[in-house]
Amino acid sequence: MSTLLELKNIGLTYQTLKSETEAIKNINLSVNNGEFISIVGPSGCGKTTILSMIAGLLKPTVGTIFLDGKPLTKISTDVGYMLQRDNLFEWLSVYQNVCVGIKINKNKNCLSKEKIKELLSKYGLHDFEKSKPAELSGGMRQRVSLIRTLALNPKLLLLDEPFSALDYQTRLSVQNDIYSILKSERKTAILVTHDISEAISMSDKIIVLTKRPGTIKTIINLGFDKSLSPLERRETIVFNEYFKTLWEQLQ
Amino acid sequence: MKKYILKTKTYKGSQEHQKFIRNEHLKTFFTHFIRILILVAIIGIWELATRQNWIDPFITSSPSRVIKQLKELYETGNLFTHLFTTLNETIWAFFLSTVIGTVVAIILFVISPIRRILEPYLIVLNSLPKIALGPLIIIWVGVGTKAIVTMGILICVVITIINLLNGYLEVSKEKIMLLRSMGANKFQILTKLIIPATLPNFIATLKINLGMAWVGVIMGEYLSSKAGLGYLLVYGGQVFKLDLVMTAIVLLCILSGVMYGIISIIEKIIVKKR
Repeated sequence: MSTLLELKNIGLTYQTLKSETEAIKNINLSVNNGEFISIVGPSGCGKTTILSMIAGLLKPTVGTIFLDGKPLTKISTDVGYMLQRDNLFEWLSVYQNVCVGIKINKNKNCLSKEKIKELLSKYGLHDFEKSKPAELSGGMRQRVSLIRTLALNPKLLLLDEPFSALDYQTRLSVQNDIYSILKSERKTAILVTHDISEAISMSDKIIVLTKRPGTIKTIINLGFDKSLSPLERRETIVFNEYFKTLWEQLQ
Repeated sequence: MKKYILKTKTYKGSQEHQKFIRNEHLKTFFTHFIRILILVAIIGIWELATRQNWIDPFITSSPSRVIKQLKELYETGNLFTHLFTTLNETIWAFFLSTVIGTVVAIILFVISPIRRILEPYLIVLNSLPKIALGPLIIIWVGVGTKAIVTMGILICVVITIINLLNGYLEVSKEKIMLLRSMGANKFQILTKLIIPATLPNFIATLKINLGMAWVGVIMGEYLSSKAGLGYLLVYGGQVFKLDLVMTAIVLLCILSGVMYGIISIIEKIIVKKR
């Protein structure tokens, strides 16, 4: 498997008038094509900061990020960012929402109209193309948000706690949906979460960060059968063992 | 009343729902009914009180005198001159202050250093009673329509800028970040997100602006004018012709109501389109 993303010696310090805060330091990480990685750690350890840097919204103070072997210096449509809230535009229809990114990036390597319509109908949104976001359930809104991110055809998806605003029942089913969408579209993804079970049920690899300044404490490789869905993973015996290990790491 | 009951007769639903609908219609009907009743009562009591000499029509005027005055103005051909003078000034003041205010608000939003620098100036200008600038306006732009429209603009424009800018600044930072992560530039963030997201705020600002434009124009006409409803008010007050003052007020009520109605219709069209 080829390497898609590489973080080399990444560190970031926030500056304010009163103080300097080292948010993260010495992050070395590589992500292979098609991998699903989760980043967990105590709150304030710089999880979201790492995603913002990969998205190009923040510049690391030290170190370099490589995407496809090239240094990442500005915002790239090869990286799609999905946030905690769906941030759908209430005044646009579902279809128009999905196409927001395409309108901004004319002439670029976006998905075709047909492909988008196909994605919408494949994931149960066909009848809602013309609906306004207010008419959708929380889970449907998050699916629209994901398809909006996929529409720009990114190589890498960054998911910043995309399930935390959903109720438990919906969260489990949306985790399942999004996992299967990402796998069938063969996307690489990095998920930031503070939900241990979520990380175990979805990822190939879990990165555990230390308290601030965040560094990598340990990396846990998960050996689940590839065919298992997140919900099925939760029913296995190893799931609980991983949970215990991760829990101890986070103490 | 008949209309409201007929509507429910053709509807076939559960009895409770029919009853509910009938009650809702009755509520609307009574609201409208009482509204009109209040207006009729005011006019009626006003007229009665003056006819019975409970109050002095020389000081309070009366509905019949207002109608007589309107007729007189119409027959001398002055009615529409005054109406159109004020209407024209108000529309210009409203239009120009909306355009200038929107452009300035967008500039202040997009270029944040300018916003930071100008903030205290904006606050002072907002709290300054604009009528104080009256003498300056007359000296700088001359008397007449120009001075009146300038006064109208001064009164509207600062509040327009502040309202629109606050609306822009309230748009969720996350949504801006999302568009940035998609590679949007500042102009695209403005046209794809900020302006459509703040459309309701823009319409609310238009409504406030319209009211302010009336205030500004009447104030401007107090300062210097040869025609217009503000002129009628001042003139009527000076020669103690309260019929003229009351007539001007009635005309102002009607005009501002009609213009507000037009904006509400525009609002409905825009909201429907969204």
